[in-house]
Amino acid sequence: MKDVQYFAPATLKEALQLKGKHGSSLKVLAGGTDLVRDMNLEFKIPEGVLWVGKLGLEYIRQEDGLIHIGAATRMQTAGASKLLQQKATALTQAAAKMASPPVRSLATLGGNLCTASPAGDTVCAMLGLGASVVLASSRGRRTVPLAEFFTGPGKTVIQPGELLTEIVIAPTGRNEGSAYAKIGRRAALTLAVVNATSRVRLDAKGNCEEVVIAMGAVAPRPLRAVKAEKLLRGKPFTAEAIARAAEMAVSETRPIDDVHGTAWYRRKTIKVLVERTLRQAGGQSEGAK
Amino acid sequence: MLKHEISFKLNGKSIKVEAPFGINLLTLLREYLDVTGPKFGCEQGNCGACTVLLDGEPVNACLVLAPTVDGRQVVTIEGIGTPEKPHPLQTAITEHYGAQCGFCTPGMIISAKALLDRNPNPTREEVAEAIVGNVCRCTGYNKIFESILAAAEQMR
Repeated sequence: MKDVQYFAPATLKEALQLKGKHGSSLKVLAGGTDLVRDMNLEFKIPEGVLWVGKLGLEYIRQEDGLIHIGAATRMQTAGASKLLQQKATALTQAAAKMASPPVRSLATLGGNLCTASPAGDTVCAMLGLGASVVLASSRGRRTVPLAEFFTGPGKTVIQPGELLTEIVIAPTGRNEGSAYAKIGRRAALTLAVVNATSRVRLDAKGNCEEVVIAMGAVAPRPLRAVKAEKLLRGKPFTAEAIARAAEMAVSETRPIDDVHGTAWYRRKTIKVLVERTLRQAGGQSEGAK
Repeated sequence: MLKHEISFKLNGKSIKVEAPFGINLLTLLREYLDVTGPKFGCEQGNCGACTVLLDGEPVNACLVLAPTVDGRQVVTIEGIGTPEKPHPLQTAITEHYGAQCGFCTPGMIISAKALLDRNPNPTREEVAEAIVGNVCRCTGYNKIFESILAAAEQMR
C-alpha cells in the first residue's frame, strides 16, 4: 500500500487553499462510504485525502426564505430534521431509509451528490426538490442548479479546485408538497433499481401552479422529466393529467439493462413511481380520484 | 510506510497508536490494537460485522478512515461488558439463543445498544430498522429480535 497524504483542516479557507494547490489529486473525504469502500476493495488509493469533517459543514437552517444545508450533513441528521420533514419531505424520505443506520451516521448529502450515481437516493430527492448547490474555491463561489450539476455517471461540473459546501432548497409552502419513492431489489439496504421524486404546488382551484419531477437510474445521469413537468404546469391536477405526465416522463428516459434490472422493467416501474410521487406530493392519497 | 500518531478514546481509555494514514478503523482496531471484537466481513459497509460506536453513533468501522477518529470516542463490543459483568444485551443474546456462529454478534449488539441508548422501549419494527445493516445468516433474526426486546425490558 502506498502512502496517503492526509489533511484535516479546521477552516474552510484552509481547505480551499489545499484544494486549490493539489486539485484533483486530493480526494475529498466526507462520510467515506464510497471513498473508503473503493480504497478497501478496489485499491484505488488516492495521493491525498482532504477530510471535511472539521469544517462545520453539518447544519440545516432556514434563512432568507431558503433552506441551507451544509454539504457534510449526514443522512441520519437530514432524516431526523423537523424542518426538512415539513418543508422538504422528499429529502427526509430518501435520507431516513438509505442503506442502514451505520451507513447513515457516516454518509453525507454532499457526498451523495459528488459521487453522482444516477441511482443516488438523496440525489434524486434533491433534484426533485429543485435544489441548487454552492461550489466554493479560493477564488470565490458559484451557485449551480442541480439540473445542471451532473454530466454523466460519477461526473459533475465541479472543478479540481472546488469544494461543494452547501445545498440550497426553497421550502415547500402552502398547497405544496414533495414525495420520494424507490424500488429496490429488496425492502431495505438496497440500491435503487429506479427512484423518483415529485414536488407539486396547487392553486386554490386545484390547478398545478408549479411542478418538478426527478427520475433516477433511468439515464446516465439523474434526470428531470422536463416535458412531463411542462404538460402539468398551469393545468388541472387530475388523475388523467397525472397519468399522461407519467407516460411522457417514461418517454424522456434512456434506461439500460444491467445487473440490477432490465430497461423494460425500469420503464414499467418508473411510470408507477412518477404517478405515485405526483399524487403524494399533490396531497392526493394512493388510489384517490 | 510512514506512520503517524492517532490518539483517541477507545472503550473509555485514552490511547495513542502509530499507523499509516491510508487504513480504515477496522484494520486499526484489529491489526494495530488487537481489538478483535469487530469482525472483518465485507469491507464495503453491507454486512455490519464491524459495527462500532463512534461518538455514540453506530458506524461501519471498515468505512471510517483511521486518522479521522483522532480526538474522538470509539466503543467496541469489548467496551460495553466483560465476561464477569456482561451488558444486559450480551446476557439476553446468550439466554435467548440470539447467537449461533457468533460472527455477526458483536456488530449486532453494538447496533442494538445504539438503539436502546436513544429508545429504551422499542417496538419489534424499530428493532428491525436498527439492525437492518447487520447481516446474520444463521438465526433468521427472530431469536435476535427476542434477545434485544428482552434486554430492553431488563434495562428499563
